[in-house]
Amino acid sequence: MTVSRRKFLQWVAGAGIGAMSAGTARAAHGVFEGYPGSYGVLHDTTLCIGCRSCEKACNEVNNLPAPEVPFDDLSVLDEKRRTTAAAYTVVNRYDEIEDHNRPVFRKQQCNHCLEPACASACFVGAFTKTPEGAVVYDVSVCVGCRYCMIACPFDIPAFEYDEALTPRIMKCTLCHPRLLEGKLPGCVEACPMEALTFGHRNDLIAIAQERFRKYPGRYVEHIYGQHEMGGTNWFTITGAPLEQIGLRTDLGTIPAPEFTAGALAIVPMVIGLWPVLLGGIYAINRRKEKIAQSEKETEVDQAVTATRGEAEAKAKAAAESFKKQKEKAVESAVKKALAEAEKNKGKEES
Amino acid sequence: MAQKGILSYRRILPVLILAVLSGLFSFYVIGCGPSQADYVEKRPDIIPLEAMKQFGDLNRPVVLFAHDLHTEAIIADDTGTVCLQCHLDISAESSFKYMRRTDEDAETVMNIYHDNCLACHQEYEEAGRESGPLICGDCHLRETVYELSVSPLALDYSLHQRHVVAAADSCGICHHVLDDEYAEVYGDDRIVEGVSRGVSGPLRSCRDCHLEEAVEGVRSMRQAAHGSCLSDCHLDNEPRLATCGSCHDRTRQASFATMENPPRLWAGQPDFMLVAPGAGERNQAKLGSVPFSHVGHESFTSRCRSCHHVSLQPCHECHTLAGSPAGGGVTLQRAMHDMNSEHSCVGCHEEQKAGADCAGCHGLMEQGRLSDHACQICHAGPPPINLADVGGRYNSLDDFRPARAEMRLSFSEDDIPGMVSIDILEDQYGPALLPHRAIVESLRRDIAANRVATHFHGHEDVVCQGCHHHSPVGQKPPLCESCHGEPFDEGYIHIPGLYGAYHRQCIGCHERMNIEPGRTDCEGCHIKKKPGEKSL
Amino acid sequence: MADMPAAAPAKRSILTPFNVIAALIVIVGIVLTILRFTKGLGAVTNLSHSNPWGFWIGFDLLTGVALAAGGYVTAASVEIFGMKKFHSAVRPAILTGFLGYSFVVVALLYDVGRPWRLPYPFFVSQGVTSVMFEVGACVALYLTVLFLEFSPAAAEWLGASRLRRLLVRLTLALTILGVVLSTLHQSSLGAMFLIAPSKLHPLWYSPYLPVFFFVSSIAAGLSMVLFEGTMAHRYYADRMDEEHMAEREGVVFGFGKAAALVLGGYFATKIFGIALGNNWALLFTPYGLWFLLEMFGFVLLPCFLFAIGVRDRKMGLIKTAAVITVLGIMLNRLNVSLIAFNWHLPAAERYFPSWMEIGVSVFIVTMGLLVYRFIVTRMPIFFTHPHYRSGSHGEK
Repeated sequence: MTVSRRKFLQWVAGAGIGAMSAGTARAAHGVFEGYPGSYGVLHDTTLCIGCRSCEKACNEVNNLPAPEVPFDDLSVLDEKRRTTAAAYTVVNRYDEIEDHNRPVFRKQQCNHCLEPACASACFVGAFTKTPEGAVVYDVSVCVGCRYCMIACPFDIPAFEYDEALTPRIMKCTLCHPRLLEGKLPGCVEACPMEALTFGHRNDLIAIAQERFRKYPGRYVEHIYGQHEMGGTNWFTITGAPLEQIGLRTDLGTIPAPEFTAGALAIVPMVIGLWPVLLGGIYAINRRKEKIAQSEKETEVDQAVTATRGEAEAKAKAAAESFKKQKEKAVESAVKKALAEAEKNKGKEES
Repeated sequence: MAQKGILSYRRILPVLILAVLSGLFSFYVIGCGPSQADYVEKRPDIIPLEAMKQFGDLNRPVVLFAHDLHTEAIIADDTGTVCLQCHLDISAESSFKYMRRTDEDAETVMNIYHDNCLACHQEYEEAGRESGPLICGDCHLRETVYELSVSPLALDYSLHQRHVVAAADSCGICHHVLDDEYAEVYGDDRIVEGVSRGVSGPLRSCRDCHLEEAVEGVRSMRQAAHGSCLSDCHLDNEPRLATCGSCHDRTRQASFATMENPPRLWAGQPDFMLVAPGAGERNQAKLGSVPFSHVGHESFTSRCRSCHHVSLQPCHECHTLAGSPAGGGVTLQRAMHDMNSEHSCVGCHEEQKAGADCAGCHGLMEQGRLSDHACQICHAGPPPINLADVGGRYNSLDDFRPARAEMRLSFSEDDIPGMVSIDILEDQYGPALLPHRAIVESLRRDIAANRVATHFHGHEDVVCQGCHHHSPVGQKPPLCESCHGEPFDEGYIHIPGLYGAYHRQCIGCHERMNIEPGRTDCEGCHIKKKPGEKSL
Repeated sequence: MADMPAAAPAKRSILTPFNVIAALIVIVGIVLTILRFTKGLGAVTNLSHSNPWGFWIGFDLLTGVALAAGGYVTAASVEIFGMKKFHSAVRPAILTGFLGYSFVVVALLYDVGRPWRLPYPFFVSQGVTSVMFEVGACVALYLTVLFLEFSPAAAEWLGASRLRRLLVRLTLALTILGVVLSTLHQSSLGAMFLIAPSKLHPLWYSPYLPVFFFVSSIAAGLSMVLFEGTMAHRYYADRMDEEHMAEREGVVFGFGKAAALVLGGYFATKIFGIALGNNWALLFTPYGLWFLLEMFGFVLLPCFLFAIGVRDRKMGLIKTAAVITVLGIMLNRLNVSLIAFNWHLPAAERYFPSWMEIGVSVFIVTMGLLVYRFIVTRMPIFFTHPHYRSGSHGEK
């Protein structure tokens, strides 16, 4: 089966165009502000008393394994904790905050970003941003590559490293199944201080700003999650400096998928142009080789002709001189013979 | 072909590698630019020596001069007037320059510093005493090791009285302008409370003339204080206060002896008065004047400057109705009502509300706004337009407000529920038992003990509003569940649900007032039921 | 005399040092494999929730793929750029590439949570927004390409000449496809880290990451071919034919020249990367020192060594430079994935591989070497099969 170059290049071009049109055509300057009517949670750390009721409720609602230390043991707050394969959410205590004579508590869990890095990174599309606002995980396709954990700027997803054959990614689901039933997320329902306010994303922003207005000086007037990483569905408002309670302020407002959009966009370009470039180089090289070959042949021909001509001339000259020599020899032989004959004749007469 | 010349690789390679490594190392070592040291010492005596700045850009970092270190070192020698070792002139008119009277040019000033400083350091070094740096980089430090932390010295009533006693009642020693006027106006009478009333000329405070900046022939307060207080008095008399830290160090200030109940500082102020805009503007102000007990408020402050923060003049002279340059553009309304100012009436009252005793209720209430009903509590006097007597001094304010009675209960004891059992949300825990009457009594006691609270909570029903909020006052306030139902109601996004409302109210108040039970002591309020238990 | 027994021929003992050590490694490797698939990743690795990728990704995957780049570089220079004098280097390079990529996939089977689901992105659910999807697709396709490029050697060994003729016809197309796919996945391995700017140190993070990875892969490929050639000439010289021996010097100096140029260009692009991010001040920090060490010691230094070696015709220098470059590529990939990654975490939360992870990696590399040995001692890699000797310069 011979594939002509022309055919091959046509295939490649077709593939390139196909890839471009099927690709993630995302407007570079578009802003996604969330599905309309999507829900979120506002966490007010000035109300959080660090009772861990939310952790307990999350554990029960999601049928997570019982913890080593029971939830009413508040001594675990002495250490900073992060989400684990058995804990979708943790509360941390932050002491020695400036201008605060009490420690500050903050609950952390998946922030359910508007444009989740995990969903963008997953190469089997195991994460979905639902219209309700929750970012949910489909374990039925997960390969366990853990790229989502690399991508998440908040370091939230956890992995069941102790499972040999069926390890899952574990993270907060915003109790999406309960949301579909019209119920509240487990943690929200359990919080006695209503430090977790559930509602539509826009309403939560209004609530936060109302609190800023009502209690000037109590809060750092910034809704964390409104714009971070392109915006999330989980907000945190606090009276403590954000960095001091473990909230990174250097994440920027660019949504994570935009960071890799450029690199992915180049793929069709390479597919389309590289074969042209390389094929061209190959063709030029072949042409050069051919020219070099034919030049060589011409030279060889010329050299052969020249040498032949020389040889012929030589042979001719040699033949000529041989002929001359022969004639001379014949002549001298004849002369000699004549002289002999004359000599013989003279002898006979005497 | 291997070249055996000078550029042979065998020779150049080690040199190349060495150059690369030293280049890398130097990158790290050199770093870039000045930085903050790991530990920055906070001192009250840090003076940046910036005289060279007037001549152009600096080549080296500014020297942070620790004055006290040097004063203490020189005092130890007991060579008479300490200051004169470095300052040529410490008279009333001097500017305390180092070893010079004027700044001539960059070269001269620099040499004055270098020659003199280093000479002294050298001398001490050779004498084997603790000395200062001798090389450039040890004074012109690139790392910041010092930070100025000076606590301003406030001459409060107590400190003033100690000086009165020390000066043996010779006011003219400090109030020097009145040296001549003193005898003429006051004779030999001492200026004490109750004496020389009726004399309208006040004994002015230093700051009436000595302002923040020096003004044509009158030194700034800072120059006057250090020039006169120090050099005329404290350097030579006991207690000998020659270092910055002896006055400006916070810890030292806390250790100053205080006089119990110093006599009232009288500068001609009234005991009782009606606060109103200035004479020229009275016909514009319609709201009632404010009956004000000046003598009463003096007992709440430690010095005049708490309110008279620039000079002793009446407020309305700088803070006019529309604002004036003298008052920094601050209108009279703002001067009186600014919630964030330490000097305004409302600002000071707000500070009182922030205390733990008040924060239980006030922490929950919307802040940053004046409640409308509070206006009437203060503006109880006649409108200024009706005031015939401008300036008004009164012997009492009883004519202008209802008799200040004790906090009276308009509800009888029986009206106030004693123990309230909150069982509407009973689930994993039993009902919450609220000692209702005890709480009311405790709040009543706290209010009675605080004069601001008493004044503003004149009607004690107001107390009920701390918890029974956003509803009309009455003997039977509405139940909480009337307004607080299911949480996260889309029509009422700012109102918490009942579960959250109860806990925020109760736990919030306990947190702010620092009372037991603590926030995570659930059983302190309601007993946990055993699994399966129906009710307690 | 007829009834005297013939002397037994001298036998080569199977217990060479290499074989013994390799056997031990294989045994340990099998044990570790069983552990991994019965107790899970947590029992074998030091991975954590904050450090989900470790030595297997940093070394086996990233370094392995970069070093296996010799295949496309050599094939391209011979088939597309027409540099026939490197022809003898093609088959060894293709073999190294093929084995390299194959064992990268083997390593992936260990690292990924559910290895049997690796085909899912192609057949079940496509995550097209993911750079890793593109990496997976390109690596899978490229592995096929490498297999097809390698298979003429196997066909020759098996005597299937018709098959071999068919496969050889595909050479140009496969080479072009190989370059396209290699460009894509080499650069995308770097692009994978673009999504985590908050976790990678600014000196290594740059929008140019794909360019850096691609250009350095070329240098890696060239150097790996040189290094592998050095090893081959030391241990398998007896299997090499005249063409191989004769072309050796040309390959070394030619690849050395190319490597010098590529490394110089790579160094320049790195400078542009710092300029783009305006990160000059970071060079004065401890991480900056580490970065400068990587740049000056493992990029600029071998660049100069290559150049001097080519100019002065010193094969030893070029071989040294090749080793330094290979180490430098490994350092760069480990920096991006492990060392400069999560640089802001406190020391207690940083990752260091467990001995078992390193053991599995060593096991995989050893298996690769064993397969390599099997192939080069049997198949026409270092020599041209006698059937196809004359005029068989890639029948087209």
